[in-house]
Amino acid sequence: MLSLKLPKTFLIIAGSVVFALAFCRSVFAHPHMWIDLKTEVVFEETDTIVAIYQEWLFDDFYSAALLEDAAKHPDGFAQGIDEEISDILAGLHSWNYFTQITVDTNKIKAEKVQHFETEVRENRIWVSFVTRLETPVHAPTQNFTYSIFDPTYYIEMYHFEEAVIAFRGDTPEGCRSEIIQPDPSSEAISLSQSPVLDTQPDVSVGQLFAEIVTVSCR
Amino acid sequence: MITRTTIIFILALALLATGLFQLIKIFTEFVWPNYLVFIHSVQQGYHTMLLDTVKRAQAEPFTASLTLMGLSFLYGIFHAAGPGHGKVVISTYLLATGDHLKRGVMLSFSSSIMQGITAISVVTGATWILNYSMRTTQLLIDDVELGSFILIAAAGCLIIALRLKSLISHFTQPRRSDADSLPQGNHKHCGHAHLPANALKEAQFSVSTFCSIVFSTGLRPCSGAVIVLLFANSLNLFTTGLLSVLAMSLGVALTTSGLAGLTVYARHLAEQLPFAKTENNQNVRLVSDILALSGGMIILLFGLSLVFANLGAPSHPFK
Repeated sequence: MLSLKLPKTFLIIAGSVVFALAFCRSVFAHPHMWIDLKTEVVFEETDTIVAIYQEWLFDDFYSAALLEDAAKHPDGFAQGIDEEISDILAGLHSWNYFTQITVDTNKIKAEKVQHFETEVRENRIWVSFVTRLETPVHAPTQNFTYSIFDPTYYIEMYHFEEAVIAFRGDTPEGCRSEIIQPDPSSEAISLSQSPVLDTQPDVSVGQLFAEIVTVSCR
Repeated sequence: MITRTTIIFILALALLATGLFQLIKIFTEFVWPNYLVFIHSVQQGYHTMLLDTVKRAQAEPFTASLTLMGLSFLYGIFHAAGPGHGKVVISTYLLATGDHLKRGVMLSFSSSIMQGITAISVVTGATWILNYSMRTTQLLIDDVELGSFILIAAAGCLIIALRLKSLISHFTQPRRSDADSLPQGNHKHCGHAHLPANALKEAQFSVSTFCSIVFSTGLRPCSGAVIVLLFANSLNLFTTGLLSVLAMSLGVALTTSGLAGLTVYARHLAEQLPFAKTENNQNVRLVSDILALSGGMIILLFGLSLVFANLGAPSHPFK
């Protein structure tokens, strides 16, 4: 009895240690920062999607850190915040503003953001800007989806609870939008088996936990 | 006759292998990912609660501070239940050296408490003495983290070096003196078949290796602890933050000690397997050295991979 039980228990325990080792890198990156999102899809000429309007609300901790630095700016607090956000947005350009835009099966890029607005709301920093698409999307014939996430998963970015994606501009009739919640368990499986994880362990994790916004006008 | 028995035997073996394979498959594809998702969601919930409680402590210092400590303790327990590099190093070390339970628990406790102390000292030193801002302090924490990874690799090197030395002496020294130098275990008096092995482990225990494991894993502060402490400090609630970090470390220590216990138990079970049993001190020592050597190599490679992942990470716009 006992001799039968031992190897099995051992296998289970040793197995879990080995898998802790194997999966460690994929979940190594915990988010250290949270951003609450609000986004709108911008239409022009009735049926063409040209941009995504985005509002980001930083968490208490990161806001406190930014506010601390901004207060030390020689030209005053407002100028300080302005420069901090400019720097962040400049850095975000090469990351495509953490916005992954997919049209049918192609990824498309956003143009460089030139303008933004920022405010402090209940000690939290709020930023809004518009990411214009490099190639406009013909909504009635193309599938348009986007995800806003930090690929390194340093930041966790989700739309506000109960958020609805609104449309701006001349919107064709019958357009619907939906926020699809992430399902990390099923995707983690496929990703954990992909060799990409070994070469680029830290830049594929964010997508596992990302929401997907779909827009359909068919 | 023989062929039929062989066929039945092979079939049974195949059946067993398939069953085992399915078991591992279910574990890796279903149990483990879902466990990770569960731990992840619990951690997320705690994070928000922690920061909200720190904010509340401005208005009601006493009750909110108590709540914060309780929450931090629970956060520590759950945080440590997820995968982490410190646990990998500690389990590998314990599996490889076969240290006993008391030492495993001691290792986990010292490492976890040291993580809390690192968080407190770095944050205090940076914000009070160096007058660093919260963001600069976080960058400093990243450097400390890199230092911790380098030390993990160094700890791996230390284990390898010590065990290589022992292996070399095993092959060069005359056999008799080798057996003589070991503490003598007496089967008749104790009736415990494993005393020689345990005495051998005790003889091979290295304080410097043990300390290098504690120091390298303890040098990396838990990110949650740093965030709570920095945030509390920015609201002039340093003491609240400090107590919360200590409570968090205690929670982490409890979970990692549990894991250490499981690891020690696993190694103990492995030693009970028929092929692992031997009365020959020479072989016991050889096997134990080789095991520890491979453990050292895993720790070295793991440390190096952490260093390179850390150095190779692209610069982040929010850091």
